[in-house]
Amino acid sequence: MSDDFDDIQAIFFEECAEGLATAEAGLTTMAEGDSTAEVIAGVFRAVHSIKGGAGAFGHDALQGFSHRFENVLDEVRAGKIPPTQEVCRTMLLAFDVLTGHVEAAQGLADLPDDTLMVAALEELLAAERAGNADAQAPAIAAPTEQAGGADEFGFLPVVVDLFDLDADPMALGDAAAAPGEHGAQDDNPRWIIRFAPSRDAMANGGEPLLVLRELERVGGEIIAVETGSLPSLRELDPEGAYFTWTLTLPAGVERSTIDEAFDFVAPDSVIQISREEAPAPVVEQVEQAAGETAKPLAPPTAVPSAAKASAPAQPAESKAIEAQQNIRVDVAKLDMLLNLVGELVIRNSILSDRLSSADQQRVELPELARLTREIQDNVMSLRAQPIRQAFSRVPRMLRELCSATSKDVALEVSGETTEVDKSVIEKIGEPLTHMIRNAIDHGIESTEERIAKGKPAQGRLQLSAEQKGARIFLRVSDDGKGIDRVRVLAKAVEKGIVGPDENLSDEEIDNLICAPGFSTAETISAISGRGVGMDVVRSNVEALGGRIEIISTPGKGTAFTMILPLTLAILDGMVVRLAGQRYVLPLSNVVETVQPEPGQLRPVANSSEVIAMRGTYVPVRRLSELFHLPSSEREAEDSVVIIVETDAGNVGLMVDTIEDRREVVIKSLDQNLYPIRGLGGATILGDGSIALILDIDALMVSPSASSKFALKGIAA
Amino acid sequence: MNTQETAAPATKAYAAETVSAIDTGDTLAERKIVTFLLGQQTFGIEMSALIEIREWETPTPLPSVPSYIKGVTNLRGHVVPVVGLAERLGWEPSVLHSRSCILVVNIEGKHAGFLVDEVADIVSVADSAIQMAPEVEVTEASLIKGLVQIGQRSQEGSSDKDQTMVSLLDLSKLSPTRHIDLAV
Repeated sequence: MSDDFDDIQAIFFEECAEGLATAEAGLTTMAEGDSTAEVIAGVFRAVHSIKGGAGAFGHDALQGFSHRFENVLDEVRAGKIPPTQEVCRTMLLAFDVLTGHVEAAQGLADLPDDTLMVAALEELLAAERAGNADAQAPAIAAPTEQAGGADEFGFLPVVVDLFDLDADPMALGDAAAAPGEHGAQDDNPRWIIRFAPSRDAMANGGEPLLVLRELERVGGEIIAVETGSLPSLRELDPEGAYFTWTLTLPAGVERSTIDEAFDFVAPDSVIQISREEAPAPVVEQVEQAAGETAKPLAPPTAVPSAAKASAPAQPAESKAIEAQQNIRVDVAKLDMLLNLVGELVIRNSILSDRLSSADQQRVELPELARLTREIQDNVMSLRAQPIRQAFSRVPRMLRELCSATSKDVALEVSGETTEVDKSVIEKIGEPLTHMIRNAIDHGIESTEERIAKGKPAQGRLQLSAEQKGARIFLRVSDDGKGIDRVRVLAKAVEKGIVGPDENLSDEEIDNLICAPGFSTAETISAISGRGVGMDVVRSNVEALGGRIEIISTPGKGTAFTMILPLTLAILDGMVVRLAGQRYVLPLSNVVETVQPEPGQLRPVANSSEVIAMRGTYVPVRRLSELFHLPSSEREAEDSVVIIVETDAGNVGLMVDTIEDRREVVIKSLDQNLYPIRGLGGATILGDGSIALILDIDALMVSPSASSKFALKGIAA
Repeated sequence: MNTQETAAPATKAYAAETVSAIDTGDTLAERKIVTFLLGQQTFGIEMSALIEIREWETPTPLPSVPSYIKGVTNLRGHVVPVVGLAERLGWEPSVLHSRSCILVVNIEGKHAGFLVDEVADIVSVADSAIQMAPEVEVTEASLIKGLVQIGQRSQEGSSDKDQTMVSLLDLSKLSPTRHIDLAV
């Protein structure tokens, strides 16, 4: 297989992933009872696109299964199968099998066993047919299945070899041979269609022959061809389209079917669709593909150039104007660009440092700084992605978990449009999986247990994302039984994670489940309980410069919150100095700065101080003590207290001086070392020296509790 | 920043000279080793792992790290930890002097700098000349990968017969990320 083929196939798989996401979202909406025509059509189109692509790339199993799935969806779309709860559930299961097929086609998994699912789908179809035995024939729009045999409409479908680009166009004659029988029961007059493709239709991939074939497939018949615009041979462009066709279509054909055939025609084509006997034929200009979001994959019967049709250059008229133009870019190139911009920012500030203050005020430098910042913002936004991508696999995972544990859990998702850096999305997948597994396996009780406790029989899992300042809050919460602190503590003592005599607060006990080698599962299940779960979650999140908060209420449930930095690369910071070293505080944490007056700073106990601020007292921590640096000899009055906002309220942080406010490029410490609690990373300042970036929340949140097992973690 | 960049090419030229002297008529598998002094003892690391040799420059200290991690330094835009090798091996900390320098190495894709007392030489040794480190009682048994005898290069360049024992360090075991890797 050529590289080109692989490249195109890679695009197909990306489109599959998008299609699956669309289908799943749609099916979930349907299962919730919101089965509008638009939603159903969206699911249908997604599955249809996958089928088309699968055929073009020779993934027969995928094509076969998606074809069956599509048949059912088509009946649902036509209103023949009502989208009941039962039907939706079956379709969701079918969706899972479809996902399995896509993975198998990618070589990521073994071919799923779909016999049961196929049977279930066929059953749905059979039930529908039985129910309508004496009604009229099923929708003509239904794709014909029995390739090669005469179907109920009495015409022979064209057998199209998907790779046979030289398929004999004359074979179409047979297909269109008996159109007269269509719509016999219908009183409506026949359709008259006039179709004049734009001159450059073929150059744009809008092969008119495909449209004609599609129309003929549903019973269309060409009644006239206008050749008037055909130029002399000398001026003839062999790739130009010069003909105008007039076709008739049986009256029974639905308007939507006709419109579909014109989905992929080139812009500027003239399409007129009217009923034959209308007094003054209403000539409609079809707005091609308006509201159509289907991937540009031609239906399989039109596949001789499906690969061509699936190429991104498929502008439909209205889309070309409204839709954004997209190109796919290798992420490695974006990363490279981001690194270079980071260097540019640093060089910019080095340059600024070297210039005299008079030169710094000149217009060129601020202008350069502004441009650099704009470039930086733009590059960052290239990498921002909605967090939906990380959430998308959750529903499927939840269904699998529920069926494995026989629990009934409903999922609520919010904030999925929150945008975060791509690297964050990549790295939260695993922590998210672990947290959800934990919630289902350990948190939510069995249905019987829930009923006995007077809770709703169905458990609830909430997944939410929210941006607050420069941080992302990602929360997984369940309404299960909460953390069993007695058992957690007993287990931790048994495993030697804490000593038997240690007096731990509830919060500290909850945090023990993140300690390395901890697992309370009495029986090791396939789902969780291998003793690596929350430990891995914690280290992954810390590697991202974030941390985890656990809030648990016995009997009510548990909430895990991952607090992550919005971006991993740029930070607006305040540069402070302490004992000769420079540190950077995230500006998002800074509330105000105070130069303490004599007496404003008061000792409370041996090691704690408060500062009086407009009638209230704010606790003050000395950074030198937090970092165990030799305590500075400075008088408190010569120091600066920076009031910072933390999750635990405002705290004053005492440093020697404030030096500057600037944007810094975050370099993670774990690239060559490992994450250090209290530090969000390091940055390189204008003079080439390194300043450490403080993680205020981690620094302030119960340092005693965290250090206890942070050290244990390293020792283990 | 400029000083270390001039140091590296000089070292390379030195290496080439040494190799050509030894290479003549010998086709056995060889490896190049950078030798350096810590206290009175000579150690060696694989030349292929070495990125550069730079002068000592006080790194930015880090809070709550083991004392042998001296801090982090800026290596062409990368934040690289600096390890006091003597302390890492459980000895007294090196006393800084004019020949103190930092060997910046690449350990399985991660960069780290090691403070050593003095860089001695670059030599080629045949694989067969490397002897497994004998089982001796040390705090961490396997930091030393092997032992090799080399002829000492005297300042006058004479054919000295003195033999020096070089302890080859196992860099992968010295990586400052090592204990985290083990914990996970």
